[in-house]
Amino acid sequence: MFSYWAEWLPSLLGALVTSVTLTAGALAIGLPLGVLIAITATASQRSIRYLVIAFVELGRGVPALILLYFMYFGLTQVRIRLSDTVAVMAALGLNCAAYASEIFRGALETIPHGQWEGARAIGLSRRAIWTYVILPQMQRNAVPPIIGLSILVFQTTSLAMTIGASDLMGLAANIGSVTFRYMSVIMLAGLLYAAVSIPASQVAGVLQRRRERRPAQR
Amino acid sequence: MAQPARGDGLDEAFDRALPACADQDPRATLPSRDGTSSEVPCLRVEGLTKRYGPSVVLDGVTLNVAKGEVLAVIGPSGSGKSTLLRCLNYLELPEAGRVYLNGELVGQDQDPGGEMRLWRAGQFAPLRRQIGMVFQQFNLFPHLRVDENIMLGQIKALGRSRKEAYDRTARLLASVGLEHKIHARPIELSGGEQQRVAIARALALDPQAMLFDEPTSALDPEIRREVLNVMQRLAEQGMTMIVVSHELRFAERVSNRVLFMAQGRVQEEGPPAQVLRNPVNSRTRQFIEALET
Amino acid sequence: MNWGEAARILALGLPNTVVITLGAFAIGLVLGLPLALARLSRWSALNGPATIFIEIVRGIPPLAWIFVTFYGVGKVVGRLDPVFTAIASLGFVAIAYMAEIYRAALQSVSPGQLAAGRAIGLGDGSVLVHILLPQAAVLAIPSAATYCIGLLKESALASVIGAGEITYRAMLLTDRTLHGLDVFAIAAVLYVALSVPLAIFARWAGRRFGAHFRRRTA
Repeated sequence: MFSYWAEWLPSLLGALVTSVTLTAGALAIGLPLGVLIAITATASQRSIRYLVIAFVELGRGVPALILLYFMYFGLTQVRIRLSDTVAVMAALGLNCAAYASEIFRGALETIPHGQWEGARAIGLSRRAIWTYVILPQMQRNAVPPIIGLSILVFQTTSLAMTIGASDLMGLAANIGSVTFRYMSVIMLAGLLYAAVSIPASQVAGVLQRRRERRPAQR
Repeated sequence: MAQPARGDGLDEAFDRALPACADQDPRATLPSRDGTSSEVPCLRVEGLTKRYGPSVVLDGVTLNVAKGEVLAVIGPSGSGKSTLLRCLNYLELPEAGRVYLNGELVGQDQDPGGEMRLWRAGQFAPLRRQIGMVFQQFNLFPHLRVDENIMLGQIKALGRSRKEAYDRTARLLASVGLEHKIHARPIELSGGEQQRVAIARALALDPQAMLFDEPTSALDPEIRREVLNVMQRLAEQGMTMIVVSHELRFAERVSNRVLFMAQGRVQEEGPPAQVLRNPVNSRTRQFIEALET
Repeated sequence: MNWGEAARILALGLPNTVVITLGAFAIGLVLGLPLALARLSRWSALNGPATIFIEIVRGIPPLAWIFVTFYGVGKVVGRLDPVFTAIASLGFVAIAYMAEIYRAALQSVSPGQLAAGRAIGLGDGSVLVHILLPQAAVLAIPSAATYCIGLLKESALASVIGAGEITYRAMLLTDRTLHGLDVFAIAAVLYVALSVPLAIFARWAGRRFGAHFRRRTA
């Protein structure tokens, strides 16, 4: 089984780069959108809040695969043809936004109310309060779970194979269908996923523990 | 509804239950006032040392507690008081030193070479049964009712029957004035009530001695007395007690001896009147003055 | 496109979706606990392998596990039933995730509980069974419910190996009608309808039990 691995490895490494690119694209859509949603969720109008909750629950309740099929196969019904890359980034980006918004909302809740009052008391504008007071403090609570979410998004890019993209999983399945050595090639692809995921989650773990050791407020 | 827990009502309840408790553990010996009597001490600690990383929390603490004696341990936070208690029943493992219960070395085996040979983790349970402990945060088991909290150790650790354990539980709860809370959940109780249940839970195992780790620090001042009253009754019955506390008045009234700790060492010890009113050590004096103002 | 008819066809896949989700969840629920205990054990002979197992299983995308089981194991023992494959492989992954959920729950029980249990003379086994586990089980409910929703969505991956659940039927129907937009929207609604009761339960359980037994942060 291992004798083939050396032969497949170079092309699989190339596909790994594709998977990482897809992840980066999805995060580039999902994270800013998530921040935006989290901020919007603090809006005072009830209708806006409900709209946000509905979006988040949809994004979290619908399987990523359904979102992807919707983007790739569904939109053709209204004559929109997305490339596989764009479809994956859009679907996973929306999915990621829903989760990210919950993480940011959670991080927001840990900021004491006094921070808002203090910032208002020194006459900062709403925009300035967000930029200089709230967001920087959110960051420390949000970073470890966001790394965790990014790992999840990275693994979910494996769905790209189902629409025929040549991401890591897609290429592995291709090689499998040609050589009939599915088990072997998919194990190798799996280990490549793990080779990225595990160190990343270790980093998240270290950051998390460091944060817990120094509580924000006494 | 819960009766308001007033000191006098509580005393009455305790008096009623007193014989029931007292005959569990009759004591012929009188408390020794200074802990230097010639008989074998109930608890003896020799050169107890504990470190957390580089910081030394206990620096060779030695002390004796006679049978029936009440020892009050005072000192600033971080002075090692709580750690001392937790090393006595090996909730924390000391790096050096010995603990004797009724003259018998416990928690470790004698080693002629002077090396410390601690028991294995599984061997401490029978020892801990003989030393009751009451925590600052009560630490009742929140998923169990009051009676189940008190019965658990009796059934699982002492092997009593459910009936036996329940009867004992009912008597003990009466003695701390909480017989009407026997089926309550811990969360439904006030802090003072929780701590009284915790005392009953420890007493249920018929311990040789009781350790109190700042039992009233987490309580509002006005309900501390209900816990202190229970402790005073217990002392009057002849229970051997080590009490880590900031309650100086309690120490003066109830204890036989006061020990002042700072920086992991015993700085001063003696009769309450001396240590609390006329401390020799300047650090003791500063500490007491700071507490009293 | 008749929406009612489409919904009826997709709903035919509902039993399989539920069976895959609950089957995999049950496996994780039962086998995750011993794995969590191994992970927390003082003996490195136990916690080392447990940690490695958890990290590797979680580091590889569930889709890869499904393929490995279907093609790899299937090659050895003969063609596997897709629904069975999905339950087995998602259940395998669930063991690792549930182990981490149990571990977090056990670690968030107040340390005073262990001390108090020992102080009344219970052995560590008794403390675990009578004091720590009952509290940890309750603390784990919200995360476990959230994870179960995750499994519901991952059950869609079973469509890739032809298990006749909701997503698979949605694919077939799209192939037949070319109305992917409607079909996948209906499928999304079905998944959300399934996840909403779980989500409500998770939020309720989080509020109800969260504060009760949790470690006090002094």
